[in-house]
Amino acid sequence: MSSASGHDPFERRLEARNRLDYCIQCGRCTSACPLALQIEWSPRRKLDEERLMGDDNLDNEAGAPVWTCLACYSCHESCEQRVHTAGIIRHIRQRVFEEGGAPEGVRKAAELFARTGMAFPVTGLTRKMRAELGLGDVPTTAADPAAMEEVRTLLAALGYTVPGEAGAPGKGAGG
Amino acid sequence: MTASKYALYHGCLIPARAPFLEKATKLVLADLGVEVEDLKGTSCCVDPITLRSTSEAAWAVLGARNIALAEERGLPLLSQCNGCFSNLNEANVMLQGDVELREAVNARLSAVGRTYKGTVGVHHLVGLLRDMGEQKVRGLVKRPLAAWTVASEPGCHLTRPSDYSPFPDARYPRVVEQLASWAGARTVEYSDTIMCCGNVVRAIDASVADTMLSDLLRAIAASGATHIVTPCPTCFVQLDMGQKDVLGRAGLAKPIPVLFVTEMLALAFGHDTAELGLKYHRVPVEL
Repeated sequence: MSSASGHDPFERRLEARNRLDYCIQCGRCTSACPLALQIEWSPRRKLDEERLMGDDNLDNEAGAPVWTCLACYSCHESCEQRVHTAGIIRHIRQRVFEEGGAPEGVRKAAELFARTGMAFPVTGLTRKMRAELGLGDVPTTAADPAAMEEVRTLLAALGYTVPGEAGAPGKGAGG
Repeated sequence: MTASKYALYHGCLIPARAPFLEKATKLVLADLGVEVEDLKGTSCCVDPITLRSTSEAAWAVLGARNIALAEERGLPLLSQCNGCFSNLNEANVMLQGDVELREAVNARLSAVGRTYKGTVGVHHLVGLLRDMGEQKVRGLVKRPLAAWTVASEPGCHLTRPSDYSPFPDARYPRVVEQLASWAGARTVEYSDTIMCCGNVVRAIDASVADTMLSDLLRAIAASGATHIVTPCPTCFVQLDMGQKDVLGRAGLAKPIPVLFVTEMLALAFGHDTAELGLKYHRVPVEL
């Protein structure tokens, strides 16, 4: 499989670990997938498309069911060939995100993460609840400017941007 | 083997949206004589569903940074969240065994003066609780939960991907049932015991999230469970905060209370509902 940014060690390791080439298209993953019961979606077919088309298929994945995958690992756990199916689906998402094709919900989450280092915002209600419970301030980047600066430095060095954001043209999060 | 002290990695969901779960965890660990120190300056684990889908490199580097913070304190890292645990444990196992990847990560971390060494373990709260042992846990029970019939929702990422899991029963984790029985409760099985709760795709497709939730609740209700117990904050939020919206669809006459695993133990250990902040649950919990 080819990949536009497949030369950094993170992505190289990811591809080796995922074992896409071991897939025999038996379909156990799709049998085990809770999402396949609900929407038009087949992990087995997605692995086949990934192997045959790789990056050439990414344009078709923008806003597509690949983003509805629950990452529950039912496919992964059911695979007799030890193919990391959920990891391969995630790898497709990573490349679609880079190209700006992720749904708005994902881009918003990435934007909050890049700004605060967190996946959920610390709000006035959070502080009120924590005070009532006798808990201190949230001990994370949300309340620690020096730690947040470290995270910002690391993300910048990795070229992490959220495509679609103002001032973030071109390629997104990469290695 | 358990350590006497851990660095508590907070993650995002619990400290920001459900700090009452953190309260229960701290009370229970204090009762058990386990010392915890808040691990400071951590970021998101780069969650395994949404944010890891934006960058594998950010996942590896920030995961390594979070673990390095515990290493600097000389303490094993303790997580009270399935997603954080799965993520940081996978990163830790992977980095410990892969010199090239470790060097790549450390080349990045050196810019902020940190190094990942691979010297501490990553632990999940329920693994620690189980390792404390039946005798120790039962010995602290002042209010046996004899009227409770517990359905466990272990959550996907407690033990998956099982390749990296330290849990001996990774394919079908029983740790919640075990802890419930030590707290004096009965436990039941139901048809979807290891099924995903659906929370993680709520922002992408709410109808899938609601279908997953109502299917799960219908199976739990059919088992005769009086309470649902989970070690996963994401499942907790879905099952507690989302339940009222799908009651009719799930065929439930009344909602089933949902407890985080340390809330269940804290009640059994004699803590009261006010101390635990159980008023913040959307489905009321009555003793």
